[in-house]
Order: sequence, then C-alpha cells, then structure tokens
Amino acid sequence: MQKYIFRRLLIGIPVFLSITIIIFGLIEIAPGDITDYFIRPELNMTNEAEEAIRARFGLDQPVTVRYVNWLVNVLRGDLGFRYTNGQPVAATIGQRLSATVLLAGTALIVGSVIGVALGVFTALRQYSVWDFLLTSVSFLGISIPSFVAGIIVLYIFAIKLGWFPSGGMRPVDRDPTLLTTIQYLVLPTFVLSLAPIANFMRYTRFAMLEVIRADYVRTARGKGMPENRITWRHGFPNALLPVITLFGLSLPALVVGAVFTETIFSWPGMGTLYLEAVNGRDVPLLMGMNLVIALVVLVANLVTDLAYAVADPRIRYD
Amino acid sequence: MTDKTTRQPIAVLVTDEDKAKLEKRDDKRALRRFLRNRPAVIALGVLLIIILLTIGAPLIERYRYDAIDLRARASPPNELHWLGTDGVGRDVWSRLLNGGQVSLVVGFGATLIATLIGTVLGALSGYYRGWVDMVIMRITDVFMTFPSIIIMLTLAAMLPRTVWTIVFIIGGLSWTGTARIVRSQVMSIREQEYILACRALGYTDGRIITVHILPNVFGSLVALVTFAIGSAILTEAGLSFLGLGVPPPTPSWGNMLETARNLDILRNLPWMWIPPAIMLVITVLSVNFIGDGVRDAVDPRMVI
Amino acid sequence: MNLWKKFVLVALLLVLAIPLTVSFAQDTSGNTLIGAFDVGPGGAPAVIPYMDTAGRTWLSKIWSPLVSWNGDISVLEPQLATDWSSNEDFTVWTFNLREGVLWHDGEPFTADDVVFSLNLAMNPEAATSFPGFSQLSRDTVAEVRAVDDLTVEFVLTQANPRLPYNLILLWILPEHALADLAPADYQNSDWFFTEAIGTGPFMHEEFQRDQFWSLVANPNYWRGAPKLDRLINRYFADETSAILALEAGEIQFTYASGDVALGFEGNADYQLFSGPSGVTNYMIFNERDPRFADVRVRQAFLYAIDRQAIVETVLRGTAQVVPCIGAFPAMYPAAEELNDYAYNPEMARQLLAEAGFDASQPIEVVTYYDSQFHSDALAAIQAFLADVGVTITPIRQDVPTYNSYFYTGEGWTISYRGVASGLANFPFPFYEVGGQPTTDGLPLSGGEYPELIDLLAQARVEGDQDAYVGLIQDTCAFQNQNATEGYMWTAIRFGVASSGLQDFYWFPAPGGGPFEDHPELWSVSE
Repeated sequence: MQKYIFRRLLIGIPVFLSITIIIFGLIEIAPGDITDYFIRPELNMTNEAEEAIRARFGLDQPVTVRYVNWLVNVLRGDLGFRYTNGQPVAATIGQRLSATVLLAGTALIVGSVIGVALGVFTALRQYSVWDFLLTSVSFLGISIPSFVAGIIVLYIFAIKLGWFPSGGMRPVDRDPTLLTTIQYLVLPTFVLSLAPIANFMRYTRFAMLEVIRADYVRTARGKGMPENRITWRHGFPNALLPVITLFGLSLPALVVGAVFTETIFSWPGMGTLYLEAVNGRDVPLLMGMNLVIALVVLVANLVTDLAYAVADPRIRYD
Repeated sequence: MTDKTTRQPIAVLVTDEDKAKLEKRDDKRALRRFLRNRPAVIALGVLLIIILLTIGAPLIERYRYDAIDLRARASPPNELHWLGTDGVGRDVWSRLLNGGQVSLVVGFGATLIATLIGTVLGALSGYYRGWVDMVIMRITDVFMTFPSIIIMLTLAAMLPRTVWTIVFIIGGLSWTGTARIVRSQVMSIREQEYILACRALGYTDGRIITVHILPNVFGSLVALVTFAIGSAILTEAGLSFLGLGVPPPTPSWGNMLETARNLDILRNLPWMWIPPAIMLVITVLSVNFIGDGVRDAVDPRMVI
Repeated sequence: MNLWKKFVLVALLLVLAIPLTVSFAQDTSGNTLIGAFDVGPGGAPAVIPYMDTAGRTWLSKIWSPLVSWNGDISVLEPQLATDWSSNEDFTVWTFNLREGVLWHDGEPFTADDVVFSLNLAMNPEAATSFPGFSQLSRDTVAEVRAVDDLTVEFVLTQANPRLPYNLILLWILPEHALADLAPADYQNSDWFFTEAIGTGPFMHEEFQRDQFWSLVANPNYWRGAPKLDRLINRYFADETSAILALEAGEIQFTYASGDVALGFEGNADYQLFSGPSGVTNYMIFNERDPRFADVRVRQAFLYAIDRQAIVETVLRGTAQVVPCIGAFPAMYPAAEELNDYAYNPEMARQLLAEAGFDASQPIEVVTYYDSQFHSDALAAIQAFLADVGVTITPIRQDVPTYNSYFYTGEGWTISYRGVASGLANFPFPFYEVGGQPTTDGLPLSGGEYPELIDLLAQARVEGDQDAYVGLIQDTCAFQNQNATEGYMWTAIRFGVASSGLQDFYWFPAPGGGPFEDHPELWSVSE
C-alpha cells in the first residue's frame, strides 16, 4: 500500500509538469496578453506605455525562458505576483481558496449527506410514490443549469422574501460572525448542492438496489435476519462502496458549478477569480490556480482510489 | 415494507457461462421491459416530439428566426407571435425551434465523441491494467484537472465559432467520466469467471473486450450516455452564459437563456427566457428518464 | 420510519431558523453609505492608482488631483490647485496650490508632493499607464519644479494650451510616506490598500479585495468634515447582483444600464442620476479591405441602418444619434454642414451598386461589448444590412482578444466599439491622442485621413477657445461628410440611488472623472 501511494505520488510529478506546460502554452496561444487587458478600448494608450508594461512583466522574453523562470520560482515556493494588480499570487489564492472550500465543501457535505439519505430512503421503497417523486425531483436537480437555479433562488429568497442576503460573503459594515457566515452561505450552498444531492441520491439508490438483490442479502434474509439489520449491517455499507468514487468524480463538476454560483452570488472564491484571471490574461495567477486545482483533484482521486481499495478487499494495489 | 415481487431476481439460475447465450433473448425482453416503463416511454415520446419540432422548424415557424421587427419589439405572447418577441422583435417561437436544433446537435454530437473516446480508453485501461492503465489514467487525470474553461476560451477564440466547433470542444473535453466508469466496470467484469474461461479458451483480447465485456457495460453506458447528452446540452448553455457559446444571430437555448442575465429581461420579459429554460429542462429530463428506463430494461442491477 | 421524519423535521427547522436569528440588512443608523461605485464601467482597483483606467469616482474620495471636472464635466474646477496660468506660448504653466490642506496623517500638503507625484507617474520604471492616458511623459514635460511651498511650475517641451485638462488624472500622493519606495516596487506594494494616505474627504479604513473598501470621514478635509461617518464601496461580479442588493436594501447606490434604470423611473423609493456617457459607439471600417476604401460603401452602410429607429426602440431612447466622434453637441457644427444619413435603404442599395460592392466576401463585425444593449443593437444592424444585401457576422471577444486583433488590423472587417472622446477625457478628440494607428493611419480609425490629422494638429496648439471650437467643428464635418467611420450613437448612462440619500450626486463621467460631486455634503436620512 505504501509503495502504491509512493508510486502514485511519483507519477503525479509528470502529470503536474505536463499540465503546467500545456496551460502555459495555451495562454501563450490565446490571443491577447496583459497589455491588451490594460488597454481600455474606450480610451487609448500610446505604444511607449504599452512597451513599458510589456517589458515590466518580462513579456519581451521568449516563452520558454518565461516558463522556466516561472517553474524555478515555483520550486523555490514563490508563485509570483499578479499581473493585473500586483498582489502576491499565493496570498490571493489562499484567501479565495478558503472561500471556495467553505462554499464547495459545505455543498458537498450537505449534498452527500442528503443525497445518500434520500438514496437509501428511495431504494427501500422502490416503485413507491416517494420513490417516483424523489427520483423525478433528482432528475430535475441535474437538469436545471446552476445559473438559472441561482437566479431564481436569488430572486425569490433574497429579493421577494428578503430572508437571505443577495450576495457577498460577509456584512461590510461590521465584523463577520459564525451566524452571518451561515446566512451568507445558505443560498449559494443550496444552489451548488442541487447537483450533488441528485447525483448522490441516484448513485446510492442504484447501489442499494444492487446489494439488496445480492446473494448474501438474500441469504441473510433467508436466515430470518430482521430487515432493519439487513439494511444497515449488510446493505448500506456495501452500497456506499461505489458512492465513494463519487466524491472524487464530483470535484471537477463542483468547480464548474462554483464558477456560476460564485458569479451570481458575488462569492469571492476561486470560480470568479478564475474568470478574472482568464479575462486579464493574468499568467502568474492562472498558473498558480491551475497548480492548486490540479493538486486538489489529483489528491482527491488518489484518496478515492485508496478508499475504494480499503472498502473492497477484492481490489488490490501492488 | 417494500413490494416483495420487485426483489425477485430476474434470472435466478443463470451461470456466468450462460450469460453470452442469453444476450440475444435479453434484447427482446429488454425492449418489452422498456415499453412497460411508462415514464420512460412518455419521455421518449416527448423527446421525439421535440426532435420533430426542431427538425421541422422551417415548416412550423411563422417568421424567420432572424427577422427583426422593431415596431413589435418585446411584445408579450399574442396571436401573431405565440411566444412573444425579443428585444429586437424577433419571434421567440421560431427562435425556440431553431435554437433546439443547435442544443440537440451539441448534446448528441458532443456525447457521441465523448463516449467513443471514453469507452475506448476506459476499456483498454480497465482490461490491460498495468502500465496501459497507468498511462491512460494519467492522461485522464490531466484532462480532469485541466481547466476546461481556458481550453474552451482559447479554442473558441482561435477556431471559427460554429456549432461544430462547440460540439468538438465539449466532446473532446468531457470523456473523462465515461473513461473512469467504463474502466471500473471493465475491471470488475474481467475478474469474473467467464472471462477467465474465455481467456483459457484462447480468445483474443479484442474479442473478449468487444464481445464479452463491453456488452455487459452497455447498460451502464446507456445510462452514462443519456447523462452525457443532458450535461452536454447544459454545458453549451453554460458556455453561452459566459459569452463563449454559439454566436448570434444563430439561436440556441443557451444563448436565449443568457439574456436572463439582464435584470430587465429577467423581470419584465419572462417570455424571452422561460420558454428556452423550460425546453432545456424538459429535454434533459426526457433524456434522463429514457436512460433510466433503458438501464432498468437492459440490466436493472447496474449501478450507474 | 420515524427516524426519517425526525431527520427531515430537524433539517427543515434548522434552515428556517437561520433567517430569523439576526438581521443582515445593513444598519443605516450609523450614518454609513454603502454603494456599488465600481459596477458597470468601473472595475477593481489596481495597486497604484495611476494604473486605474476607470473607477476614478471612488478613487477621488481618497486622493485628489490639482484640478477635476465640475459636476457635469463641462468645465474644470480647482481642487488642490486654486488657480493657474501660462506664458504666452503655452510652454510654461504655473499652478498655485491650496493653503492649509493636510494629509490624512496630519502632515501638510506642499508643492513637493505635486513634483513627486508627477515624476512618479511619468517614471518608466513605475510603468504606470498615466503617460498613455494623460499625454504627459518625459517627452512632453521638460521639468516640473516647486517654486515655493505652494507654487508649482510645469515646463513643457511643446505648446499645450490645455495642460490643466491633462492633469485631472494626476492623483497627488504624499511624498513623505512614499519617498522610500523605489518606483519599480510600486506595482507590488500594498501601501495603497493597507495604509493609504490622501487629501480627499475620506480616509482609508479597510480593504477586502473583491468584497469592499471602507473609508471613514476625514475631519481635516479642506472643505470641511463630511457629514457621513463612513463610506463603503462594495464590489459586485455584475450589474444584476448589484441591483438586487440595492433592492434588498443592502446598498444605497449603484450604476445601472439604461433598460434596468428605466424600471426605477417614477419609483419614489429611488432617485435616478443620468447623463451622456461621452462614449461614442461607432463602426470602424477596416480600409485594408479595399471594399471599404470607397466612400460610397461607407456612406451606404450609414444609409442602410435606421439609427434613429434603433435608438428609439431597441435602446428605448437611452442614446442619441451622433454625426461624428466628438460626443458633445456643443462641439457639433451647424446642421446644414452635416449629412444626417437618414434611413434610406434605396440610396444604400444604389450606392453599393455604383461602388460594385462584392457582398460575397465575409464581413466579420467584432466587438468587446457583452451587454444586452449592444447585442440587441448589433442584431438590429445585422438585420438592416441584410435588407440591402450585406451579410455580417457579429463576433464577441473578450477585451484582450479584441485588442490583440484590433491593433494589428488583421482578423476583422468592421469593429463595433466605443470611444471616450473630446471633452470627456482630454481637451482633444481621440484622434489627437498619440495612440497606435489601427491600420497605417489614425489611431482608432480604419483609414488614412491626412486632412483630419492636419486639422487636429492645428487645434492642438490653438490657444483661442473660439478658434479651437471652430477647428473641432471642422473635424466633425470632415468625419461626417467622408463617413470616415460608421457613426452610431452616444449612450446615456444611469445611476440609481435610494431616496434616503440626501445631497447625493453622481454623473456618468468616462472612467469615473474625477468630477466634483461634493461627497462631504452627502448624508443618509432615517
């Protein structure tokens, strides 16, 4: 097992490198650079001013030199400074990442708990009215684009009913408390957890139905074991197995969902920052963010695989 | 507690070796089972109607989708314009039909591409394991951790912005889920005795994968494909939300929905964005119900 | 069974309890004004304010220039300078500074601060965009020196009769606080967000990037202490979220686009501020495409598009059709000197036929605008042109992509864009700003027009105001008659404030001014 983990981490290095090279190349190919971002189309800028900016950011050097410089600095633990506003990249990401982890983490926890609960609930009542209703609602959950759900939720609960703030992460005229954080968290979490709830519910439901029909469950039932005990001792733990993979698989979708949700609710997280970075061709920030995203997803995948191995002894890693 | 009959296994005494022989008979049975699934059949009907409507748009539409009429701009639904008009007086009904073509082409096209790539890579990875698995899974990791937004942005800026470009971008970037799931399916199926038997009989790997393993993945693939169609349609809408979708004046449900970002339209001109929203949701819903039905019919024991 | 019900019940109760616990709407009793000052054509602040190309409405609360616009940006108003004069050939300018102005930390403001600020802004090592926007660089300014504590002298390398206009972008920064910072280090300094010091009506309190920037009243402000205790700028991802926050009572002011602002008209809970944006929207014809080198083709495009109808219907009257770039009617020549290009598709077809226009080649119309306003306008333009047999393909690009193609003149046939012109930004129309030429001709133009450059060169050094206005009118007439560009309209922009704000003022100045809005008089009523 340790050998396996070590190998996976070792393999992670070339994956990282290829990701950084591809991204650096793509930004290079993408039309426009930071200078073009600073030119406001409705105003104007002289050639000299542009050249000064270009030289300041070292854009007059060849792309390979810039990449190597960036890489060397990263290995030294220096992610550099943002092009658009000169702030340190590491600090910016740190701040935004904690906001996104708060939002996406809450959404994933809420989504998985509710989803798994509903999945077990419906599986035990297959073909009942509840099953039909909740399955249909879960279909709706994965069929509604998050920006439509976001706008509707925002409109109803923040504007019409005034129950929750319309956006942001904290009140601006006083210090945030746990209570205010929860208030600001409710609506975006709700929107962002719609898809995880639906997905976890569907996965769990199928998994439960699968194990309920399994031989050992039938055997247990044949031995006269009480239904409750069968469900929770034999059914549920085994049904959770395929559900575990969903944590890893949910992450990229969660990141995409966060882009829209954060935009609609003005949540100062990684999603909105990513759009800003792309729009500004902010290379150091983009590279730094991709590094972090890649790290999170790779580690999540590794953990998922390990959890899978722990949960299912049939799968061995050696 | 639960209806006992539903718990009865469908084929009680099937041994692993018999499975292949039963497949043919299963096909007919699967069709019959699918037709008994009322929600799925209704959904199929709805989807067919939507497809017919969008294909038949030139016959049904009453105005060209790009014909503007400034005097009739932003008019609510009336007898001339069944679903009203948009900000420059274009008929929402005909834009809805034509937009459906785009959304469906993107949904089906992108899914086809993603499924092909995902199945091939996933099957190879799961069957051969070892270094093949490692290389393919690392490629998958790269694609999964890849920020698809920047690729889409770069590609959308470099390539001509057409429906087909969007299809290839979405398809080419969304196969990773399929690959991982096919891989895990194949991995577990290849451990089963009848596959070992096949190998003992000296069947080629290609035959084992295509004839003996992939058909058993079929059920989960169908469900996957339906989900992929739905999510591809949603991805197109999301791209449009970010201004990277199908360029105007070609309508798509995505870029029609995008107008709801404007508060005035969101609030005062609901006929401009509610119809595409409803069509989008209905289409994706139908597609998912169908997939659900197919999965139940082909192999109800399948975990997605 | 009961387990489920309990679970659902507890979850529901928890969710429902949250809104009841505390109120989140902002507490207005503290005399605090929260606004979205950088929604719309604003933007997040860069590190050094000389990099900010917009958002100056907010920056002017902390820092002040020597001079700024007045409330409706028609004349200049003294700020840190009280009056100014020049020698006869406009090469030496003298500014007298206001006495008794204190920095937020209590130090006195002097002429040395002005010298420090201009030298910093022009320093290539600091790499600010100030020289690009103000036309003041080491090439045009020979020297700036402090004559005494309250007098500054600018020695120019060439005549500039309107230097004060170029100085409105020069925020005066405190030398005593910044002297130790090397120019090259400014871009990564956090001084401007942690310990910023200015001479403006409000003092820095706390900055949370992309969330808010809060300021407190400056008791030593030279016009008197502000009535507000605090002024907070909240940042929003887009206009819709800001408007929603306004309606929810979380903020009291935001920018609003025309169609949204019209929804607030007649609503007693809100007050509307509006004015011409000073930004002209127009189509640049890329004359590298030989089809557009023919004046008849350019004129045909103007005849083919019913600009008046688009303004009245699609834009719901929130724009005015313009004859040329030079967005201020005071600078337009008399109507008889202008061709109004009234809608005439017949004439358009005829002109296109005469010019032998080849409609089979694709015409890509690129734009960086992503608002509903402009996409509707483009859709209408597209339909009008289709009506005379011209097919265009509108393409939206993000700003860097747009700029990277635009300035090379490659990859686009027509560019639909806007330009802040004339009075709005500089004393000169945009043509005179020494930006890079789009093709080989004028900056921000698709063709070469030496006559126009001549007229502008004359205007630049013309000291007499009437003669100057006459020359600018001539440039307008020239642009108009030759259809050098496809002139469309100038938009009216809006700000919406809650009616609880007293003596509040806002104007849609390009880039945010700075203009005089007397923030020291603002207050919030109960």
